[in-house]
Amino acid sequence: VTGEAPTVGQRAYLRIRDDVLQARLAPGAKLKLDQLRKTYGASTATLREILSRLVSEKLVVAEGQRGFEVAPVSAANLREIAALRLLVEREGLRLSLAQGDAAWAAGAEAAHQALARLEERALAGGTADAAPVLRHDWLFHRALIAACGSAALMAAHAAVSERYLRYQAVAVRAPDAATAREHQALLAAALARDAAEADALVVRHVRRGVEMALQSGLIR
Amino acid sequence: MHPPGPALPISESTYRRIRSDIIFAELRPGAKLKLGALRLAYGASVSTLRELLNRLAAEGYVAAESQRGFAVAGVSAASLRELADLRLFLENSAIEDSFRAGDLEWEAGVVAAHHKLARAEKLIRDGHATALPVWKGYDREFHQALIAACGSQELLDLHADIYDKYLRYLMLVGLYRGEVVSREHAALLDCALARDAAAAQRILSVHVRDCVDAIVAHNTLN
Repeated sequence: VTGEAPTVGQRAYLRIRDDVLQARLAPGAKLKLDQLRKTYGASTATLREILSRLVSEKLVVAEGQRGFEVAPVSAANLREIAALRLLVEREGLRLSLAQGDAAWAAGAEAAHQALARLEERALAGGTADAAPVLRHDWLFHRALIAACGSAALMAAHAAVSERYLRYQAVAVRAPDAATAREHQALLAAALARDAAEADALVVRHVRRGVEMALQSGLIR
Repeated sequence: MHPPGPALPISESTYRRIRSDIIFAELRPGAKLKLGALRLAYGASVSTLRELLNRLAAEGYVAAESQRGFAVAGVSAASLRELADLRLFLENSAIEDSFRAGDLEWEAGVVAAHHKLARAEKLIRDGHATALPVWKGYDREFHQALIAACGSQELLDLHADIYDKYLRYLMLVGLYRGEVVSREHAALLDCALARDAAAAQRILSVHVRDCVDAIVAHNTLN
């Protein structure tokens, strides 16, 4: 990337993207260029390009002549995204558990340690910011499949699992002790290279995540 | 991947044209993408082009080289194998759901897509090499028709994205493996109509793996 303008554009892109993923920009919210320009400090032309890039990432939808809005959420779309995340993640886990070496195992343990610490803190305090927990939740699952040997699979998993976690950011307010226990069990199965157990655990984990999100009543 | 709509903004239509020119190998791997030349070729402003190239870089079609501007993303045998494996995995999974759920409309779509594909393959066998991009377009249509009833738009979109990245390799080599491919496509059609997902998955696995081997043997990668 050359010059100054793309850097401003890149920074604005990452900030808007983060705000959508962490639901600080709510699903369905109108994205008015004037307002965005003030908030994110990028030109209208740059913002238009950023938004069309977010459209192709399915985080924003273009409303014909009426401009852009944050991609809406629905129960049906959550189920599709969860199913696709599971499809890709189970394959990633299978490959990763078969091929992962000591460095992979250490990476998974370290990622779990960071996540577990945040989960404990959130469970003790109750009202902590959910964003860091969700981010480390994501990083932990990424670490588990990191030895799958395919950048293409990792990229596909990144895109779909980020959108899955947006649903968690929208719907799930309180930290959950059962989720933390599931992460612990998943790590143990992965380190023991128990592929069947890890597979069963991740399926249950994601299905329960979907049910929790739907029970919130915030997604229809 | 994108539904056709009226009145696309210039940036969106330019984005699609450049993306398509990369996939169909009009723009070759490693080729420099100079803003001045692109402006003349595609008729978009430099600032639009810059953002659009960043978007294509995020999608893996373009490499952003600090200081030196943009170039069409390189290719490698390793990355081809990754894309082929992922395509096969997604397509085989979608075939199972699609063959179970597909109705008569779905069957008709598969038959129609195969008909066009078979005609294009005959043209190539008869020596019309210019039919290659058209044939590949129909190849994509046929494989997408097979999985169209899988019930998940998310899965279809991801498959389309991976398929296009894989297709770029096919177009680069410009390879037609001959009648065996046509026989595999016909066999896939038969499996779809017989709802035999397991047999279709076996055929598809051979179909994709042989194709990868042929591309790698062609030795234009690396």
